[in-house]
Amino acid sequence: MSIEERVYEVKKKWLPIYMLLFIALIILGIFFILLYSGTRKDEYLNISMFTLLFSGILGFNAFKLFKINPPKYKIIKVLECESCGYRRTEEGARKGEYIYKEVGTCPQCGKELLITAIYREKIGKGP
Amino acid sequence: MDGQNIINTLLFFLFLLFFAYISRELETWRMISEIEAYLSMFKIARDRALSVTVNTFKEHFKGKKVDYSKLREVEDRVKDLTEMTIIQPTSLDPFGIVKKIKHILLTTEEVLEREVKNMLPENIDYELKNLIDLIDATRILNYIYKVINHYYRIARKFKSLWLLMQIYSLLPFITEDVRALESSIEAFNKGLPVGDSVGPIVASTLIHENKGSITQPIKDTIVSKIDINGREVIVIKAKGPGGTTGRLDDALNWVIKEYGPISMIITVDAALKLEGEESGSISQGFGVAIGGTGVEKFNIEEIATANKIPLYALLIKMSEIEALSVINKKLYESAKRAVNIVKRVIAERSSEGSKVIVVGVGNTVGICP
Repeated sequence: MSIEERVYEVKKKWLPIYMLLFIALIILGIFFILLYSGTRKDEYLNISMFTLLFSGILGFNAFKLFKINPPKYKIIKVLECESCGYRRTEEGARKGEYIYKEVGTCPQCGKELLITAIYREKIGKGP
Repeated sequence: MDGQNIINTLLFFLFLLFFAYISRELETWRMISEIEAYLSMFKIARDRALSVTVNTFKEHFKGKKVDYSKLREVEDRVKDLTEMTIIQPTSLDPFGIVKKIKHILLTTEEVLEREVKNMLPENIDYELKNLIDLIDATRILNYIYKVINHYYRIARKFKSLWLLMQIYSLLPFITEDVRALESSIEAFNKGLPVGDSVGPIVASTLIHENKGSITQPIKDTIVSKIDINGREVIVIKAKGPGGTTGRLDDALNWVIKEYGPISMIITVDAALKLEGEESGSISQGFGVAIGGTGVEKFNIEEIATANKIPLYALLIKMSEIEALSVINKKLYESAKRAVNIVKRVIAERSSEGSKVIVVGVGNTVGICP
């Protein structure tokens, strides 16, 4: 697990608390609005405004946590035959594989098949 | 002004002072909690690196009859090596310091290689270099954690906000370093090319495309002679596929003595990009493109200046994390583009029949030859 993933894990722990507070504040806000509509006292309206404002901030923070998506990668290996131009890509590279290593014979012409590239590619959309 | 007003004013100032104090305390508390969180992450990164390194060593004992005490001994030895310190020579009198640094580095390299070799049950070829790289990465992670922990403890001990602020301001940069080193663990463990390997990829491609013959006059470094557009091109790179950067300055010295007058030296290396710059962009320059301790850079500059050889550089830009992680497609394609630029530079800046040196600078992990 990389540092990014661990940061995500740590932040994710706060998600239930954020959600709980968010819901509680929304309920409280609605409660004060109802009180205001019944009594017409400005104090209730002020408190409801504050609670809804805080619930908005909490909701925004929770949304930001949902949006965190640690990047994931896959290793790609390119196999090529230099005599006939045969080329194929494979996912993953084993320990001991390196660029310009001979890895068997070409399925088209039977000459040597080389690893010509090893690189990593991002899976999906990450930060 | 009556008595009540004076009390109110005093109370107002007291509140002001109280809030100023509280805000500072809150800021300190926030900084402490964030530094602690990052410190724990650095510790986890260090421990994980150590465990990967120890397990990689233990893998070499698989299928062999070894008792538990031997494995325990290997584990302890690896831990000892990660605590190793390289002491820089004093710079009170800087004359001749480069030679001293080189001497210390070579001694470290040789001893480390011998120690790792002795720990293993059998002789391994290029993988030995990857194990040494793993130890190095773990050692640096260990060092970073210990230093930051030290300053953090000092700051807490003396309740110094200023020390905390200094650590706090450095955290983003240190985290970048830790993330980069952490990514390098996977690459060195599997022996896959990293971003810093772009230089050796360029050199290797030139050798491979032109079917150059390979000699190894210097330890861990290969030299290959190829022909590009009627120019005699001598390619120098670290010997792969083990993770090493070779001894490029010594190899260059050997090439100049062996091949005679050289019309130019081109160094190809990875360079740290600035924020906003695109990864994989290639920049041309003059001078020696080589990082590290500066010893090789100094020696190459000395050789080139003594022989009046023009120095050209090709830099492939990347972030610190990219430099130490498994190479990505963008950087790989840039390395391939750099091969064409090297050929163009040779064609444009040298005459037919002349001799040119191309140095592929960087860690050659996962690249052969």
